Amino acid sequence: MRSIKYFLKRYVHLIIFIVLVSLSFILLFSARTEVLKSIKSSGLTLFSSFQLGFSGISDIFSGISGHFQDIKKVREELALTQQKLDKAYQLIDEIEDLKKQNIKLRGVIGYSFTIPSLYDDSIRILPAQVIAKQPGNYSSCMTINKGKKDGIKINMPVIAPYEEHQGLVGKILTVGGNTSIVLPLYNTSFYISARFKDTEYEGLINGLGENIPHILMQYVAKHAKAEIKYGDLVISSGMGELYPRGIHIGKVNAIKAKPYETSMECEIVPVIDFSRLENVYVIMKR
Amino acid sequence: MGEKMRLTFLTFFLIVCALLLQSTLFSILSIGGVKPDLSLIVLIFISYKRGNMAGQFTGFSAGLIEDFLGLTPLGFHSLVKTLIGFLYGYIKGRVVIDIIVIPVLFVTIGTIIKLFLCWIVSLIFSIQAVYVSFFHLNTIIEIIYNAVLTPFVFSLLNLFKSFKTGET
Repeated sequence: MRSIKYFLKRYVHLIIFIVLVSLSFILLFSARTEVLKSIKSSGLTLFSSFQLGFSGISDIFSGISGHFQDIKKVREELALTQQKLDKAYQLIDEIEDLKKQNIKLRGVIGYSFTIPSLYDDSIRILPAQVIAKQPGNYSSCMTINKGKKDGIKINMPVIAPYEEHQGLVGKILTVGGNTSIVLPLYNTSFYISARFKDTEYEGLINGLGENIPHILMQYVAKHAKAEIKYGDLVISSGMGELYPRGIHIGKVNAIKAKPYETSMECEIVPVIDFSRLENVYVIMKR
Repeated sequence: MGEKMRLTFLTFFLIVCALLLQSTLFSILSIGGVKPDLSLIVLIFISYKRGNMAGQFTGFSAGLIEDFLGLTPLGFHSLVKTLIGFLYGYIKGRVVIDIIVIPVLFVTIGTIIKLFLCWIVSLIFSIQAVYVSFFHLNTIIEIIYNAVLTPFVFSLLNLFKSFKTGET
């Protein structure tokens, strides 16, 4: 008995170590079970509520660094703006009226609204803000400030406006109470059925990781090579009913057709600039 | 509240703060998209100061919180960081550290070990969401970024009296 006590006392740190490592292995082996998914969701709810607080601090820094980046751009725009100033004065009255009308309408329809190009009554768009990103560097995801309480569910598509269109950001992977984790389209585990907007050729898009500036469109018919051009727009095909058809994904950057393969691959540069992404919209079904 | 309990709460608080800063503020202050691993620096400091028992518990909790906040499955970072915490806990009382050189060396080696363990675990469990590359510029940036921040983080943590006494 004394020897057992001595053994336990002497090697307690090793026993604890084995227990913790075994626990980690059990968690990893059962990662896809519903129990662990709900535990992860609860953990996200708990810890991301602190993230909401911390994001306020980061917003200050974001604002400062954003201003520095914008200085050059603003100077260029200023020169152009001065030329257009006379013309702009004529439009001011009209814009003021539109602003008032816009504020009034937003108040009427609440926080949610419908993006005009997604003309489907069954679809609702919920605005959200990116509050945090994955803590580590070997995986990529972002946390948004909307969760279960706002009606968000797993696999809901996330988009963001660019120019006058909507670009695909990713999909909801984990939902917490007030926050959700978004799997961005550049993540290696992200797949989406896509097609070329002009030529209608289809393919499967897969992310290549945060460190690589493009995503890959695979299984494109080889005979499409003659018709596809650099800069061609790729949109969601709508197959699988997860993503509505017509969401802009990216533009062709390179075409790779190997002679011994039956299909070809295209490098696609996403239309969304993920490094400066702040506001996103979650596509929800009514 | 006993000294030991206070130290445990302080450790947990520091780890949570490090992870939250990593995912919010340092996402903005990232270099080429690479964030420093503040929680790793804090973990190495705590393991060195408090030994492998505290080190492995801190590593496990830090990893678990990181898994909660990210894409990785539960258990991924907790396994990696438990191993690191346990390993670095053995240094306690064996090495006398200065302000810059030894801490930087500790964290540089720690980052490389973390990278290697992440790679191994993602391979064994076929975790598609994890992308680890040894021969990538981002890896070097992370090592350098962690190393640069280490003296500041260590100095900051040394301000806590509880850690100065080296309680276990």
